Amino acid sequence: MIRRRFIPLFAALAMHASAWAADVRVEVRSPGGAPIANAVVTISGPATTTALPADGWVMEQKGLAFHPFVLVVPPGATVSFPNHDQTRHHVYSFSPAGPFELKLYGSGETRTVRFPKAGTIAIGCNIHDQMTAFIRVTDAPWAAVTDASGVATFHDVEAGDRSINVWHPYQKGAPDATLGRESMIPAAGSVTQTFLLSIRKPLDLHSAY
Amino acid sequence: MIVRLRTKLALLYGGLFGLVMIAIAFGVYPIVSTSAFNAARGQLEATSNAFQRLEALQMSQLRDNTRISATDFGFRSAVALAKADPATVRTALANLRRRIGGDIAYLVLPDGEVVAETNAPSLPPGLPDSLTDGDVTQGGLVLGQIAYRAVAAPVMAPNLIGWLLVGTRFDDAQMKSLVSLSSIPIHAQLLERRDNELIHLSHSSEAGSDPQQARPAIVETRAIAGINGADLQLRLSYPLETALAPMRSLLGLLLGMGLLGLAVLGLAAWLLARSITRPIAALESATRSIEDGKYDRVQVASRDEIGRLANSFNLMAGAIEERTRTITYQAMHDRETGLPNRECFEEALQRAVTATGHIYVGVIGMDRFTHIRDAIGYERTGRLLAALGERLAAPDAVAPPARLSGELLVVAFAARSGAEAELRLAEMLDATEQPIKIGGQRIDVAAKAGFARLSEPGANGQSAVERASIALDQARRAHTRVSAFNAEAYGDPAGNLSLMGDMLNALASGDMFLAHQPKLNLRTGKFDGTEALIRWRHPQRGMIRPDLFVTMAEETGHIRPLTEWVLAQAIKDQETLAAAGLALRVSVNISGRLLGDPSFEQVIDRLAEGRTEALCFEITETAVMNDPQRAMKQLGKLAERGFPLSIDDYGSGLSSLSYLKMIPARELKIDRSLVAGLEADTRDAFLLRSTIDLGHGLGMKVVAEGIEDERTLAVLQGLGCDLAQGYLISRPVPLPDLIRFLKADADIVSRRVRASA
Ligand SMILES: [Cu+2]
Repeated sequence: MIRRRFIPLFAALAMHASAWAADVRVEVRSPGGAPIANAVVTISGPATTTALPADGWVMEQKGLAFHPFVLVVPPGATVSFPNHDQTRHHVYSFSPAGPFELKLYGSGETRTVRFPKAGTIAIGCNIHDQMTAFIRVTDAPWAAVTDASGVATFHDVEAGDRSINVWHPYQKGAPDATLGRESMIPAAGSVTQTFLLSIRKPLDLHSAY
Repeated sequence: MIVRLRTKLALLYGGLFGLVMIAIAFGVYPIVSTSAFNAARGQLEATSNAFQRLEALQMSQLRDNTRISATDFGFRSAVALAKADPATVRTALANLRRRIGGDIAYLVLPDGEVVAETNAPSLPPGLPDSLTDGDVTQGGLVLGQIAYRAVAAPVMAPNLIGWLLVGTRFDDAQMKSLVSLSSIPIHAQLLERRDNELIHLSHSSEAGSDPQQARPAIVETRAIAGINGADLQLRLSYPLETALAPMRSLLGLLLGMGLLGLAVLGLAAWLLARSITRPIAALESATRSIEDGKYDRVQVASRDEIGRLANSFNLMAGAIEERTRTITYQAMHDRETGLPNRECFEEALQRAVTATGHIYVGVIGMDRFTHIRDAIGYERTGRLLAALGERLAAPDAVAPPARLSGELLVVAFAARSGAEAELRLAEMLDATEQPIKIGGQRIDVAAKAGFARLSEPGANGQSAVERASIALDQARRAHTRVSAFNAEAYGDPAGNLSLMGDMLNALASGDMFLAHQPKLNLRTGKFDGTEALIRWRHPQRGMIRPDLFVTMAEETGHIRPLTEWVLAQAIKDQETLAAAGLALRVSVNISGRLLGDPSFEQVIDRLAEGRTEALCFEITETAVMNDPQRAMKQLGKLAERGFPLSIDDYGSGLSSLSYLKMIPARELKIDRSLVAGLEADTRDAFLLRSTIDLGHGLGMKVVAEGIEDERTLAVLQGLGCDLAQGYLISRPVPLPDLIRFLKADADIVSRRVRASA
């Protein structure tokens, strides 16, 4: 929802800068055809502008869970971790791209963490093992996360030869690898790309802990 | 072989009982062994189940501990920096391991790298691939030769950053505590199958751990899944030897009972057999006694088959004893008279002893026995002899009067001398000759007796009886009432056998010759005939008395060749006489024995056919009387052939007129016993006269024998006697002397005869 709020703004700026752009729609599905949510789709290549702001990113704790499950941000972005639960949380990450530890903090409090490097930050709560989230730090100009129907939509992607990449925290294979594809973005209109991705586990299996 | 019934029975019963016991053992063994086996197997299964529960519990504890440890924040912090700082991870691992109480601890990173404590054994290379990132992996793990139960828990931060693997030993102590759960002494062993080979890892005890030397056992095997696919086996075994021990004790008990039973049964069988065999042994010994002539009765109280057998045996023994007594009695007694027989008498004689003098055996023979027997029958004759035997019985007799044979009775008594014995026998004869009544019939018995002394050197009872019998014969021959045995007269019995052989030789060699005693015709004063008498001049023994060897020849069956020789010689002599102008008829004595001999007829036919004028056959009255019918037949045949017959020794025996008239004889020779000492006008003379008249009445010429003096001759002449023979006229002389006598002296003699007439 937050993202949607900002996309029209970016689009206006883009159109302003360059009239040559198109919409890109990316669908991620399992080989069986099931839609895969929470996949990070990035579109890279030379760009005159970036669609991702450096600030205003939020990973809230609510109902003993992180929201959103997957957050994609640009390098140097600052993410706030507001606690909307009645319990305290101890948020941490051992991920090399950006380890941090937010020691117990209570309801209504918030903390912020800056993520300068591109990479994947796996986030957990030391008190509540079932609480898991991922922040994908990417330097791609365009990035989005698939919704429940497995779709990520981009507006006003600058025309040109670009690569579209897909990543998922539970993908099979190397954890940091991406499934990528070259795609020519036209000057106007829209492009739809579909990726088939295998994931290892049911998405909510992490809550077994 | 088994000889004793007792042993047989004991063996039989013992063997049968043993077979039954074996059958029981065969029946019981599978039941007992199966039950013991099943009990052991049940225990093993129970232990195995207990082990499983225990193992599950321990595994679950280990799993929980490991899983909790894997979520430790500090640990996870260390793990996150494992690549950069493995030393921290190693200490963290040691810390966790101690906290959990494990024996090993490892960190396996997602890329397969393993962080381990210093000096820890390395993990199998393929292990990381078998770990899952979703859940714990658990199971057996073998490192080197040591088995562990291991749990690998993923370390999440919150994504997988590695696995924490913790293990506790499956060691001997574990096995020991496991078997301590079992109520039976089992053996626990942990094995790993590696390339189809069982590798020993740990055990509850050293014994029986070597699979190569494993004893037969009941085995329960439980597989333990290895964490990395290793094939671990927990083997619980219970040695059959131990499992079947209760059964063995039961079988031992059974065996003991069997042996005890066998002993009891053997003893019982032995006792039973003894109760059977004792009476049987008694019967056996009684049987032996019977063999020895003792008729013991068997004492048996029981009323069973043995008892009945014993009763039957006793009855049989009684019957045998009775029969034996009868047989013995019959063997020792004469059947017709009931008197002791010769065997009995001789036995008594052998036992006989006397204080005074000697023992004499007397044989008493009845005269005219066959006639009496014919007259009164056999049965009454027997009674007669029995009655005579009673009369002969004397208190001082050394043996009971016995019947010897036929009419002969034998007695034995003590006497100081032969004269006294003769007197005793004469008294006995007097007693026997007392008139006796048998079946209402009065019988006059006349008897003669011979006797011999026992205990003469070389004499036994038998020979004494024989000698007494001979003495009786001698008495009869000598017409005396009692006669002692005259050895001289009888000759040497041993030599007599060879005498017969000598006699046959003498017939051929010429030691035999005929002596002739002429018969003077008292009417004509001429010699009408002559009687040929056999003489034997033995080269060594000199003259042998004719009555000895003739009697012997009769008894030994040599009378026919002797008579044959006499007949042939008589014919020769007659021819010699005829050649000398002396036409005398030659008389030949024919033995009574030959009258029963058909072949004698042929001898007559062969030698004397047609010489009816030259020969005369003299037959004694007694020879006829012994078997009148047969003798009559024979004499009839001779008479038919035309031979004149002469009845010899008439008046010496039983003179039966009825037979006399039947004999086809031409001549009657009066016995010398009637002639000797004849006086005129006496009873004897009267008897002789009637006899002569009888002869004449039957158409016979009458010859008087034994004339020794002229007075007798005169009396006989007066009585009408036809012919005379005797020493007065001529003794028997050899043929040449006869011829000489007839030519020279005959006239003188005849003249003298005529003168006395
Ligand atoms: Cu929390």
